[in-house]
Amino acid sequence: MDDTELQQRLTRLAESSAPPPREGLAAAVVARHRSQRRQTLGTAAVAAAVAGLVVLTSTVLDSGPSAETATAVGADAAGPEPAAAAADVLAGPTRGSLAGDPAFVEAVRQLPWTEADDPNRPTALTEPALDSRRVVFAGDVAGGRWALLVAEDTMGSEPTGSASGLAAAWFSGPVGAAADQLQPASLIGGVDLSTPVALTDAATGALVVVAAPGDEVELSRRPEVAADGTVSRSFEPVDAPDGVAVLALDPAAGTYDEALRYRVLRDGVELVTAMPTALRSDWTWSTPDVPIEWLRGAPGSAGARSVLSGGVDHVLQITGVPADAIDFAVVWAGDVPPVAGPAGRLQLLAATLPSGAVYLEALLSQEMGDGLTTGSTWCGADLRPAGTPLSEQVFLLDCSGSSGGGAELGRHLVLIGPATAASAWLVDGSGARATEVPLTDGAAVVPAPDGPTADDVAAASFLAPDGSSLGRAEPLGYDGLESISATAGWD
Amino acid sequence: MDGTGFEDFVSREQPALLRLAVLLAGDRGHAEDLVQTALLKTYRHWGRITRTGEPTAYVRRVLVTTHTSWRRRLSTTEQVVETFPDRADPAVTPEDDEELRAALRSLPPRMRTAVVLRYYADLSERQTAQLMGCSESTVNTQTARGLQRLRSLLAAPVLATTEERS
Repeated sequence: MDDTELQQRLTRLAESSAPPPREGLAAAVVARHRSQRRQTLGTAAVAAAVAGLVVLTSTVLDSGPSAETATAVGADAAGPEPAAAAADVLAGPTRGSLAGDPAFVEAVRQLPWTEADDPNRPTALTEPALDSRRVVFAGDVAGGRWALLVAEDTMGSEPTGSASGLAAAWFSGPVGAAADQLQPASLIGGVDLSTPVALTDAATGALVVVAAPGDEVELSRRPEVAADGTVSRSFEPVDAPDGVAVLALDPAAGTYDEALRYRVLRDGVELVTAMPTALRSDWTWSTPDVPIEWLRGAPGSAGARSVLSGGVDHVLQITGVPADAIDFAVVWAGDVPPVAGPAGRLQLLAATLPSGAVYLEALLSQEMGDGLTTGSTWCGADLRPAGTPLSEQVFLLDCSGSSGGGAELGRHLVLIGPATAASAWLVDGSGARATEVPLTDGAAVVPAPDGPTADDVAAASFLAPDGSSLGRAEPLGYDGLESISATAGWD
Repeated sequence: MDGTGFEDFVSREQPALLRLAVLLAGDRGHAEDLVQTALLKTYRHWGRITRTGEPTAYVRRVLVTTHTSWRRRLSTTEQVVETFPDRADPAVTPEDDEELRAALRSLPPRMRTAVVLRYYADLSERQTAQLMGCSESTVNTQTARGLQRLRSLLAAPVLATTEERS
């Protein structure tokens, strides 16, 4: 295959497989943006009221992005447009425990940005001019030694939306590392000098938040899921002398820490709430081999077990709850008939959180033709209140997938009720009963080509052998996932 | 805020962004999420972007960095499984080049990104490096390795390899 053929095949693949443009996408993006700002500004208004300040919320809400005075940095921050006075959070003399070692600081300032021993570490396009570099932070952290630099932006020449023309770079190294042992860990082009930056290491729990001197830093370790399934967060203040918080938290529960949020306040007003940039310094870690209760079904192939392990890891990442504080169960596991290739495997993973509320992920997988690789996807994620035993609940899953390599599952509905359920009625959008589905051991997998199309199915009503109702389920969506992870700072 | 300008921009650029995203992400649902997230991040800075330059380059860069960020969060060491939050119909149409799709998805994210930007988006090594936030030599290495793997995969029955950490 020569270069021209590759170009042509890529072009054809892109054109044939790209989803159709979505009508009203711009309006949906604008609405989502406003929704996120209202959520965060609402919190800021409460904080300001407590401090006896006045926030002109309506004025800020009516302004657009062009009115922003402080914005998020990187791909992992989502901040409000605050009323706090702007300040250069990266200005001033070097901060951190090694700031008093001028030789170390100078050696850090001269570190290369374009080279790294580890090819997976980020590197800059070209070296920033030495005289443009400033060492913002240099210090020892839990399990290592980190530095934060700012310099001219050599990440690329594309517009970044930043007026600063500067980039920031985190460097990391082992405990007691000499300056020349530090390697680039995170590069942020087009840095907004008015917005704090933060880095965390999932392996060690190290967290550094760099804000402006005088700023207050607060931390929310994880979302709190109540027994009724509602999600909230509480933030606790942490020490941040000179605007820098250096913390040693517990290592992340999962591969990465997607539960952690930091918040910076200036003059009592929320400046930003965000998830820190994450790295993992230790790749010997693997997902804990947690005990899993199998309510119905049994562990499948090695690929299916890997998919389940990935589901457990994802639960740990987004909840931030240690593995030993969660009860894992598979509500149902069974095969899904293929359109082509091997049968698929559906596993409904349930994680009972400390409050008793249950987070669920429906995991669909299929071995690829090579017998070595398994493709997988989600059929939904839900968050349900404590109370009803999982074995008595009802679920309707709308699943589809294609693993490539000739393996394809098509589209199926998976109905899971109590083991005593004898049948289920699929209910269409008008509320009318459309199709009766017989259940085996309380469950059924209905391939879409042989049954009603998924778009026509609004719910499933599960019936006992005597015709009495056992419950009604709507197709599992993603509300559960979004309510846990879509706290300010997730985008 | 120039909402009308943003609507025109989305209307004009959405098809091309979706085509790029589906090659990077590997499936339709993830591609749609990727484009929406990139547009959301772009909209947050819309006023400044339109004052300082052409937003097409900006949103494309955001799309690439968002993609590699997602993949980094999803990948684990020695992982043998790809997990995509596939929320939309990923149905394969008859004209799909399923062999190429599977081979592309078997490449590690940065390698896949380099190949797609060089050979689909027809960007130079320098332009690709700018979008990926890395050096030209890194792009050169990743592209060469990616091509080598693609050619070996496409020359023989597809043996999709394990996902490497990025």
